[in-house]
Amino acid sequence: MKESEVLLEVKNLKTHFNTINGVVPSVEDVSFYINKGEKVAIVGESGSGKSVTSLSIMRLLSETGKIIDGSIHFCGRNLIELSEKDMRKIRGNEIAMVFQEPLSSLNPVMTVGKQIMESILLHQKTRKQNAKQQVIDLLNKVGIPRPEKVFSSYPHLLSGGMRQRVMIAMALSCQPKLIIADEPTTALDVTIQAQILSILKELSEQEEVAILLITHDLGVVAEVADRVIVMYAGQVVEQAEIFSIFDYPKHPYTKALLNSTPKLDFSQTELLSIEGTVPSPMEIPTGCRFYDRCDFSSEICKQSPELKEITDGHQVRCWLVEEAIDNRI
Amino acid sequence: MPLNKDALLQVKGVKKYFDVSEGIFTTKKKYLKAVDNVNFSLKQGEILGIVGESGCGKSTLGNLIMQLENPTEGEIIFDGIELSKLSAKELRRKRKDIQMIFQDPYSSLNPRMKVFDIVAEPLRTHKLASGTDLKKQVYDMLEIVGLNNKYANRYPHEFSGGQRQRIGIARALTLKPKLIVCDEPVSALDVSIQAQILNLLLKLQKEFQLTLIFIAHGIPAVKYISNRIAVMYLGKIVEIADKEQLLSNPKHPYTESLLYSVPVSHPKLRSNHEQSKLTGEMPSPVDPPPGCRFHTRCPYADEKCMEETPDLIETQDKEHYVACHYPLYRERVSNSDSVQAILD
Ligand SMILES: Nc1ncnc2c1ncn2[C@@H]1O[C@H](COP(=O)(O)OP(=O)(O)OP(=O)(O)O)[C@@H](O)[C@H]1O
Ligand SMILES: Nc1ncnc2c1ncn2[C@@H]1O[C@H](COP(=O)(O)OP(=O)(O)OP(=O)(O)O)[C@@H](O)[C@H]1O
Ligand code: SF4
Ligand code: SF4
Ligand SMILES: [Mg+2]
Ligand SMILES: [Mg+2]
Repeated sequence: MKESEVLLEVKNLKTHFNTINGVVPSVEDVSFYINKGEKVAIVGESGSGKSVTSLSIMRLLSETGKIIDGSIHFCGRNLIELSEKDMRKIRGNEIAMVFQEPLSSLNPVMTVGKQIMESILLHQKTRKQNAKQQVIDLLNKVGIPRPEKVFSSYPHLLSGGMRQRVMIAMALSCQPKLIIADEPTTALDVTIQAQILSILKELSEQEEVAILLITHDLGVVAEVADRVIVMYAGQVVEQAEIFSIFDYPKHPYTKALLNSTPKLDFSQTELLSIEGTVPSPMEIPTGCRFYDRCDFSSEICKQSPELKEITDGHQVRCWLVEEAIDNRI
Repeated sequence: MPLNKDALLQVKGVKKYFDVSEGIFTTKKKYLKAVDNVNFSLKQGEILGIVGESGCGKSTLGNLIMQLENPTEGEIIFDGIELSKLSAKELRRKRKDIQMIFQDPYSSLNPRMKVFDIVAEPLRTHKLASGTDLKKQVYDMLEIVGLNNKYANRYPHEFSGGQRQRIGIARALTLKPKLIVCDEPVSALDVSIQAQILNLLLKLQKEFQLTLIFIAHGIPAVKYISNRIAVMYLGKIVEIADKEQLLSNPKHPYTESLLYSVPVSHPKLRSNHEQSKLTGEMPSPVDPPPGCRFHTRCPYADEKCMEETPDLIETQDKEHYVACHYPLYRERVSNSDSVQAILD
């Protein structure tokens, strides 16, 4: 991979929260990169640290949250070291975010069109009349029928699917290099989800915008991603190109996740389940975090495995895989 | 659709209209047709999955069967008895044979009650057990759903979502019901926990010969657990058939495009049928489209579809019912065999 292609590189990110019950180590040693125009998915179960990772990149953590360690390089600049003023420029212009519930990020008393127009006027030197046309074009682009009507609607009058389209249009309005979409279709019906995912795929291809898609659904990953990052209990446990993840998963957790997902287009006589639950960040086992639930655990797993590259672009955090490689050599 | 006489449950012409008239002085009433003329029957030991987009009436149908809502019209016959004809007392007795499991186990469990009491409550209410017998029954039930006895004295908030769902299931099972209506029981759970609960429900279904209605958004999960699947659209069942039959030969255009909207399970299958995916959104159930309710989104709609409402009728294939003037007769591309061919 050419170094110059890398758009975002997160290295050894560590984010903690200080709560009355103590320190919550939500993200521990997370590293990954996104190339220009690439579609990368972070997949993991509830509480694995997906949202905290994305909020860390945007520097939108709540007051109790703090990036303890690591670096986040975007277009050559370390976002962690930027002033709040410079960071605001990045947020508006270069990285945009789309959340699961768009209502919370839209102004309820301003029409949809006006909100997107304001965003355009703020980030681009353009006349009001042009900006309006741009908004209509954007609404068209995200598949909104009768965009003039939606332009003058208030957010709460739109359906969930329409609101999510508006959010994507809003994200696009600043012509970002990266869109971070945190569970953008989780609250939607499959029919609407399929529409939104097609739009995201189209956009990334036409506008060359990179997409970091956060989801707990391997189906969504299979539909969209070029590359996949699997997170478990605050850590990246596996990272590879999409086909490697689906055809040659290496980490026991990735395998188990694939086997416990019900599938429409395969016969499954038995659905394998992973016993136990994800450890809460306050009671994370020392050593491998998947230890309690892993079918392959052994003595060595009581020590923490590191994320190691096993083949070109395929990284795994597991002693078993490491040993298999050592034996082969 | 003909109703089976020896069915455990028969739903006959059931409607639920909610009055949504605006203002108190309006003379013209407006109704939201949440469930509109639904017919089906369920054999003892069967698992029927119900799928459809949000707001199509799945929960309302479940609530009607549970007698949590009264039908505007129609009959619900359970175990040979029409439920709406029963007196309050008789209904209470009959009701223990029908139990429900909800999506959010937290809001359906009393936060101030210990797990033991939550599970014991139905037995106490119906005066079915007390003392050591009660204790034994509750402990047995906890064990059956995979919860350790030592948890009996804890409160619901001390449990994870999956464990809370187990508590909800234990409670639903204590009265040895014949029918359990599961309304999105795994939708709020993580994938790995979802699989645990689906497998638990299947195990219990066999062990107790339960009859299940399984309502869910997640079509792959419904496929895994059900024997038969019903597809709802705007308050109506548009198609109902044996699971394999419905998934490989969907005859209703809505079913077909709904299935094509489900994310693929492998990147190799990506975007095979972009054009078959459903466009637009479900119209409001307050003024549903006349004729076939799906005509506003159906690629095959013609004038007849806009005027005549199609009935749910049996097709050439036995036990495969569809409500469409022009049912499809073609195999869906991504059934298991052809997918296997793509992957090989
Ligand atoms: N503001 C906060 N204060 C304390 N702990 C927090 C805070 N935000 C997140 N956490 C904790 O950090 C961990 C990771 O949370 P995060 O929201 O990143 O999970 P997630 O992977 O996005 O999960 P989900 O799929 O449920 O959205 C969780 O255990 C969560 O409880
Ligand atoms: N008590 C009520 N009063 C008025 N309208 C209602 C009531 N209960 C449900 N509805 C409406 O009836 C329709 C069907 O609702 P229902 O909850 O049965 O849908 P559903 O298929 O279960 O949807 P979801 O998948 O979102 O759970 C919806 O339009 C809903 O808004
Ligand atoms: S390190 Fe050990 S416990 Fe952890 S996933 Fe690998 S084999 Fe399992
Ligand atoms: S009746 Fe007509 S509109 Fe309705 S599903 Fe069939 S073809 Fe489509
Ligand atoms: Mg999250
Ligand atoms: Mg519902």
